[in-house]
Amino acid sequence: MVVTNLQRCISFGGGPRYLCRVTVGRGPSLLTLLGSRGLRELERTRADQQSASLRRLLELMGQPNPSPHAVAVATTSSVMPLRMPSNEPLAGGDEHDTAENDHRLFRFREPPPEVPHGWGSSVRLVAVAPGQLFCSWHMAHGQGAAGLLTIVLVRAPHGYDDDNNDSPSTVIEQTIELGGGRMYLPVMLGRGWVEARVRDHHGDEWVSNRAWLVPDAVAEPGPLWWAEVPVTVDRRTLVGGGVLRGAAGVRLRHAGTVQASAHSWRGTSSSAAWARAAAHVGVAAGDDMPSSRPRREPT
Amino acid sequence: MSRLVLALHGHLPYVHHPEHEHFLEEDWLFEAVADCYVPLLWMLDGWRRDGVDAQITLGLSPTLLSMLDTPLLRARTRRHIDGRLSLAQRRLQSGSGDDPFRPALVAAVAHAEAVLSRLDDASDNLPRAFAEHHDGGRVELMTCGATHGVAPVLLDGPSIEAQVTLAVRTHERILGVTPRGMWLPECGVHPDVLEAIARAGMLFTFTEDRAVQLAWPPPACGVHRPVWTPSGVALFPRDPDSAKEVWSATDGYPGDFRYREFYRDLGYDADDHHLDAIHKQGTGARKNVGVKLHRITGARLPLGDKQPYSPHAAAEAARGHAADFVAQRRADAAHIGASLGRAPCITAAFDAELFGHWWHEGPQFLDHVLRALAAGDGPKPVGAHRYLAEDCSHQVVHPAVSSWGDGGAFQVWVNGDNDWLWQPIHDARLRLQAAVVQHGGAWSSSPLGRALRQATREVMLSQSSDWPFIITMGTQLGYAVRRPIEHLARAHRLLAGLEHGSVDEADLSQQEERDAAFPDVDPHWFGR
Repeated sequence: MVVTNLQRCISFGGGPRYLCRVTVGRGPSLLTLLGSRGLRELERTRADQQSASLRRLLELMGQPNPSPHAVAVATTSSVMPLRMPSNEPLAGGDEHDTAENDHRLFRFREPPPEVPHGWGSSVRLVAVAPGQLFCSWHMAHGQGAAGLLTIVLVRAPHGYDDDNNDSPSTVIEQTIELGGGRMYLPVMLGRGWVEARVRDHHGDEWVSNRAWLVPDAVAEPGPLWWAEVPVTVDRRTLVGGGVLRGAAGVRLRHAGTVQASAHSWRGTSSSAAWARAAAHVGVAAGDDMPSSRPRREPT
Repeated sequence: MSRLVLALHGHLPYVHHPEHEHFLEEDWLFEAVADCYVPLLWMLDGWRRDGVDAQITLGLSPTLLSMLDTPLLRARTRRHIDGRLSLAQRRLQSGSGDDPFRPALVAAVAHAEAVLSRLDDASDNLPRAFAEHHDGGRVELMTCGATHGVAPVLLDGPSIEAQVTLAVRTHERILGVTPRGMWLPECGVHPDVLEAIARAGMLFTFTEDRAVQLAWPPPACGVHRPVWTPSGVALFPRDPDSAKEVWSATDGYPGDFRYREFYRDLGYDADDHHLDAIHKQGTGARKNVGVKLHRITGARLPLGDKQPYSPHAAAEAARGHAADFVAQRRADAAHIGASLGRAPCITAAFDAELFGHWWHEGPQFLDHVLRALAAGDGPKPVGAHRYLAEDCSHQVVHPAVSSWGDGGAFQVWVNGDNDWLWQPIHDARLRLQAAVVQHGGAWSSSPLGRALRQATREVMLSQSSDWPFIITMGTQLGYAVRRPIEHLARAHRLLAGLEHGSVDEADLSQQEERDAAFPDVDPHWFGR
């Protein structure tokens, strides 16, 4: 579902009973009404009151009361690009700050909240979930112009140690409207990081933050590092990986390898499950390593 | 010897509305003080009195600390509890001797009187009261992201650095101690914030179990030992078993039918002539006042079918559940220790407000658990720092990006209902950065300097994870939508003025009075 006026689209939900989406037309925006009239009387623990507040709000807006049959249940738009409305404030307009301000002390009166859409130029990435990215961007003076969004995914099975691995695993390209937007992207990359670049028609380029992906499976086997790091060691001296560099005060030992090939990740684990799995976790360690002691089967 | 590290995350978003005499969302703080934080102090007071050798780790977020440190909110907290007391007393006096609600009313009166008495003892300064127990070794106080911004969603260096630095400054200013650890907002693990914690000199944090379970290299001890990051920050992963027994509404202890029902409140049940203005919303509508006279009674029962609450029966339930929890942890420690060949560390981490606020008998449960473990066999209850001081030999891993939200990732804070928020938050940060560069030297008390500091406050307040969370949950939606928008709008008004070399001093003053937290804020953090 493409929503072209997202700031005017607000979901009200108090659980499944009240799940509905209200899309406000070209009249006074819902946010403006929220800003001017307020909904602070919304009671958090009483869903019935929330529903009543919603009805009151819709009455204020001249909209009919929602009914379970009259209001369409929202469907997700999470995989589609969403266009930002053009040059419209996030909220505000020429509405006067009325009802709630009447109860405010005079010195606290302020203009209706108004947030400009887009300031400067930027592109942002967030790893929302395993296999899912969220990207948003805004280019100053880019309204109505097309540009190219390039997303570079780099596999890094060893976490941040692979930070300098700059060979891209996957590149995704998509034409976008430079004026602003956001989208969710599926990615097929287990562990690694991702960066986005937006190029405009002049060839200028903006680069996003680097987002580390959210893994959903146990990692590959790796070295078993064991370190003694007394609490007296100033952590500021360890920034940038001081433990693995064996900084002053740290006793680091490389004690073989650790693997979890038989330890399947199931989202959560219980102690009993862990105890069973731990018996299968292969650890090759030095003589004085705790994990090298003879294992006993859990009782 | 095995250890239990019990951590509580105390946090509320900054809600301060001096512009209104009564403001519903301020009740979040008053309820938390009366039902959670003062009962936790009672527990610690009891340990001091009885010489109990137990210790917990308690996070007090900078926004919560700021509110507890605000004179107006302190006064309103008392007003709220006075209101509870008066309503319970009126209801008690109006009932007959065989009133089935009499035991619950007597308990409600006693509770409110005891809370007021503890506030008297502390001169209303709850942070100081907790700091005294920190000094006495019964609690280790840790901090949290300054405005509860989730690092893996914010994902910009200056914001993450500012969240951590301001947190440390606020903790030091209000509590008088330097924090040794930090609760990551929403347990949001990301390499940048772990580095920022190390840069701030802190030693530990808590994570969801998957941050360690999915780390590279794989954890040799699962979630039953902390791990070091490459920069020497200890990660204590939550033990899912301990969490489930307490959190689950169906299988967990708080769902026992004998416990007090949260959702039925005398504020709605009382006769109208028993209610004063303090018992109602500013609009005159009824609201929860925190006096609750019913027990859970049964699963999926309508509120109208709830039965009278028996404090005695609930106390028995808390004792029984505590004994069960202790037995489970002892058994866990024994067989995990045998499996690992080394003493395990069981980390039980929760939202503080679960205990007392949502689960009224939770503080009693905690007290029973920790006293039993301190006195008997099984894992000893210690704070995270004490644990690391005793045992500093741990595996080093790169933790997985994760949170304690649904699915272990970030859909709760970034989804189709609230994702419109993130680009405006980022835009405001960029505009603030430009203003800091433009007015690099204007840190004085001049209006420009004040405006820059206030704009920094507003940008940081907009970064709170609470508002997108509430939008996702759909509760108090209007307020949750308004708050970040208002902070962004105020920041943009100030920044627009700065760009033109002048600010509206009346507007600036009202912002400083309304969003009054964080006098230690430094715009320089955003100028990099």
